[in-house]
Amino acid sequence: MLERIIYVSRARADVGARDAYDIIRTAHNRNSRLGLTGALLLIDGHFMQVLEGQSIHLERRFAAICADPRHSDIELRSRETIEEPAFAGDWMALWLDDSVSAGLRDRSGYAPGFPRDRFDGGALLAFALACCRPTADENLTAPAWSLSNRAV
Amino acid sequence: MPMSQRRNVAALSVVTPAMDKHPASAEPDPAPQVAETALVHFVLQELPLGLCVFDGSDRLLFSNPRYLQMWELPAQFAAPGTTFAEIMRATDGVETEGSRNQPKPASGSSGTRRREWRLSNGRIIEVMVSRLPDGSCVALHEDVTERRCAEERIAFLALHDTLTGLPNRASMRDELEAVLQPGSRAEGLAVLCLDLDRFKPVNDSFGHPTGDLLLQQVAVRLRHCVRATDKVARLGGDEFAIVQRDAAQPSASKALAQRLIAAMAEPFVVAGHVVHIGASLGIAIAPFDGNDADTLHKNADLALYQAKADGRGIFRYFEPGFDQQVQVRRGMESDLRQALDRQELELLYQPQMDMAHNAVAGFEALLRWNHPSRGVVSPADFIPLAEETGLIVEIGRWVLATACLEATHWDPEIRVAVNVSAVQFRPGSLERDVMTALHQSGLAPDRLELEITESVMLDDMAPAVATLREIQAHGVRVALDDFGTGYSSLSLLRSFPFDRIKIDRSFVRDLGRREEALAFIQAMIGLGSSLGIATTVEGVETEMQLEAVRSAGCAEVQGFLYSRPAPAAGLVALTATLNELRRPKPTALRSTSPGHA
Repeated sequence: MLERIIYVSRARADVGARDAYDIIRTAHNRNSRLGLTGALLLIDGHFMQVLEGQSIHLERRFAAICADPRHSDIELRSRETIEEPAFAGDWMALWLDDSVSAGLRDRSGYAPGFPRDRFDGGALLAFALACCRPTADENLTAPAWSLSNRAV
Repeated sequence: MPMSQRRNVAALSVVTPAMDKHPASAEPDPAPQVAETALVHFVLQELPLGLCVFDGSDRLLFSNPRYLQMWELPAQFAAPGTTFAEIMRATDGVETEGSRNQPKPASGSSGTRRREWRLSNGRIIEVMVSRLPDGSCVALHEDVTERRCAEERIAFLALHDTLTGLPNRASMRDELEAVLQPGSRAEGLAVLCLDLDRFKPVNDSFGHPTGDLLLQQVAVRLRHCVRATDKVARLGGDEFAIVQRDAAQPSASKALAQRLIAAMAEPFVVAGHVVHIGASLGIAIAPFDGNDADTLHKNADLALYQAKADGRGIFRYFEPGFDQQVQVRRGMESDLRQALDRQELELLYQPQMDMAHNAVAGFEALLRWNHPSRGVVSPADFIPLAEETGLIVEIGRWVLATACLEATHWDPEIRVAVNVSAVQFRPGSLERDVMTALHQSGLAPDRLELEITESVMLDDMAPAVATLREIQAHGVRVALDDFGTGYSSLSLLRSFPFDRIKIDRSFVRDLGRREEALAFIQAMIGLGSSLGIATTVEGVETEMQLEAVRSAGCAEVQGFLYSRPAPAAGLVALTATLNELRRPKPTALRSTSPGHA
């Protein structure tokens, strides 16, 4: 059974870019083995994570996440059964303060810590997806060899 | 400039003033003087260098034909008395930047300067200008175009890969070191090491020229995937590296890695062949994974190693523990190299049961590695390693010889099946190994069956098919293993007349779990029988599965239900037991099969 969980937590005060990188690379390597997908955001001293995959793996990961000393005040905002992963192919995306634009924050009604009254599971998922939309820079045009362009 | 020409320069600076003074001077013996002048004149006419001499007021005293020719000057500029300024006005081309920027000597000073001009026809002329103490000036002109081109080529070669034109390892290292200089902004820097998957089979099957063409296409695609600020380098073989700069990490390297993997997964068309390869990547990010070129590259490489070990077609970020894991793997590699000599490899045999006669029809030889301290190493752990390192060729040769020899001890009706890896299909070697094994054991060729997987037949691999045809022509049978799992199983049946297809165990596993599983098995057996190809179903573990595949019309069955892979010593007894048990009452095995496990 495929499930998705979304949680928000407070990062330990000394958690910085290096810790975030440590988390994300281990997460990428491990989660790609377990078939887990999702996104991790570190904004204004708070983590927000979406994690999708088989229930058994999700539960084990979430138990390990809860025991991680790099954060506290963990709030599970959403847990639901899903048909399709929203982050298919993305083992784990990381978004730090400076990679989330002011425009996106404004449009989403963002406030530090993702206050519960503004960010339910649906709003958090929408925010994470908006963060992970490829930037213009990465939006390369279809290369010459792609199947659609190739003369058959 | 060759030594002989250098000497001429020195000689001229002595001779020229002498010529200038000649009319006024009173020489005691004019005859040698005339001879010498004629000789000098001859040399100057024939000299492969251009020469011109100006007096103290910059008027031409003398020039040779090569000089005019080199600068493409009309003949009137050879007239003595022509001013330097007039000649300059008629002169085509511009002084090269390097030449213009060299420090100028103080006005009126003597000495030699080297200047360089580039003409509009592309030729490069080097001029050695010597100002003599009396104010006169000797200029020697040499066409250095070829030399400069060779120098540029050498400089290019030193930093580029000739096959793909990409920067090479040294160039990438220079670039990384420049970016990582203390004080420079190294943030957002990622090093991605990329290795092609399944490149070796392409090289082995189609030959190196085709492999080279493929590498050139790979280079083009890689360059398409990166931004102008990123650098793609070829490190050697099928190894590439990408340096990504000034991007938000690790998300940018992740997006790039995904683009690269997708680009490499698209089929290539090389020399008329459609070729499927792929790529694995390792990523290291500065400053977290290193602050210097060597550390970053080493760590990206370790991550790549992990990506390949984890299944290829994927990317891995470097993690601090990788170093150790790689050492473990390298340790295993070195142990595996000695496994044959130390007789640590062993073949186990799993029976293949004939459904029509309820009798053992053959045994599949399965490789096991008994290491003194590692214990029993799983083939899943060491076969990929053996394939990567090429050790599989030697191991495969041993397997063929051992299995054939073993089979001579069995009932002559019973076959032996041997798995053959794609790597063993190097031109010439497999057929020779098979024939040697048959010859040395004395086993009849039709008792040997080679089991190959789809990877051997990647695309339209004509050389592999040719090898198989030759082997088959000797009477050896060829089976297609793991049938139904690949993407081109059906087209494979068209490209080679297989004697047998082995239906992958995953279909049997799904029996009773997925409704369509039996339909798939029936369809594959039906396909086989209409093509005249026998079918074996693997992985049969329960009576229910056995009955299902039997009713579907399967010719042979293999699985734990009959026996786990067993040591060679017990095979005669195992054959007797299986033939005995199955014949009178098929269901009697249920209670006794664990005894053979």
